[in-house]
Order: sequence, then C-alpha cells, then structure tokens
Amino acid sequence: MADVVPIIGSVRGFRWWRLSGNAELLSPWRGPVCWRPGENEASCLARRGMFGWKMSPAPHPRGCPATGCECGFYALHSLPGLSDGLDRAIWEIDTATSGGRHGLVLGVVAGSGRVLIGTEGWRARFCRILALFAGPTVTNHTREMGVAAAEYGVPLYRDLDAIVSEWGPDRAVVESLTA
Amino acid sequence: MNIGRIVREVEALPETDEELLPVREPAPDPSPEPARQPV
Repeated sequence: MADVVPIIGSVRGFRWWRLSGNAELLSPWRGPVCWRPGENEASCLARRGMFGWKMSPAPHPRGCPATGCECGFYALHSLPGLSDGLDRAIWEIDTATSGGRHGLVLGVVAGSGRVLIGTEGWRARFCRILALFAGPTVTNHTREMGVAAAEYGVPLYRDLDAIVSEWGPDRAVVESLTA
Repeated sequence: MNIGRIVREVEALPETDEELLPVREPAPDPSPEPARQPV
C-alpha cells in the first residue's frame, strides 16, 4: 500500500446500528458499543472475552484502525446489498426493513482521521452519524427511531433515494479513492 | 462488515470547523476596563 494520502473532508458511507430500546444506537455485531452524538473515536476491541469484546491489551503503534487488525468504525461505499445465497453476510439485509422488527437501523456516517479505504467500504478512527433511515413499515421501533434521531441531532428519512442523494458518498470520490 | 481489499490509507481532515470541535463561546471579560472619564 502506498503512503498515507491526506484528503480534505471526511469520507462517507452506509452502515447499520442496533436500537438499544432506549433511543441509543449500538454497534450491532461487535460490542455493545454505544454511539454518541457528534464525533466518536474508535478503540480496538480485538479480543473476545467471556463477557463480551475487550480492549486490545496493547494499543496499536499508530492507533485505530490498524491494517493487521479489524478495528475502527466500519461503513460501506454503497447501500448494503441483499443476498439470498448461503454465503450471505449478516449485514446484507434489505434496506427497506430499516427500523423493522429486527431493530436494526440504516444510516449514513462520516469518517475522518486515519481511514483505511477498501474496495467495498472503509474503516476509520473517527466517525459521526449524519442521517438515519426508517423504512416504510411502521413498527414499535419507528417511534424510538424518531427519538434517537432527535437525540443524535440528525435527520430521519423515510425516503431511501433522498437520504442516498443528500447524504450518501459522492460516487466520483469513491471511484478516485478505490482506483 | 467486509470492506473488501484495502487499497489505500488516507488521513481525512474534516472540512469545516463544525466537524473539528464544538465551537466555544468566548469567555466574558471578568474585569472590564472602567470607562474613562474625560479629563
């Protein structure tokens, strides 16, 4: 990999959270890590202990995210795809079900600081929530999503095309970063 | 999430002051200079 390239502005991406039941957004698959309004800083949760994920015993020399680790805040360049195959990944969920019975929420984030750019997404040291999306199906989670959006100070969209066009990654930027 | 093959490392510098830090209100001057009287 080439040297670190400085860029002006954050990188954007799509990701999922899990609603806590108390209008908080949690990292859905590794944690529970509760996201805060505004900027969040990643720490390395490299070890899985008896009572959940633990901090790495020794910090990475250059901080999170480290290339040889899996740490950092994750996001995808494009909306998560829907796969019916046996090799379907856990995040490949129908975006229209955001805020549905499973309690997962889709949104857009901005990553900054050290960012490792992958062909499908990125991992960043700093991350902030920009916007959330609630699918058309109204569930018990819909009201909680409204409260969460207010708590995090971000807009809540009911139109997927609108959140993508207004907050999603710029395709030209993604192409230049992944070229 | 699988972000695919890592192709680049960047240092993304937030573009606006708003993205950097919360804006701090300037602290009020605790000892304002008394108004000068004309001599």
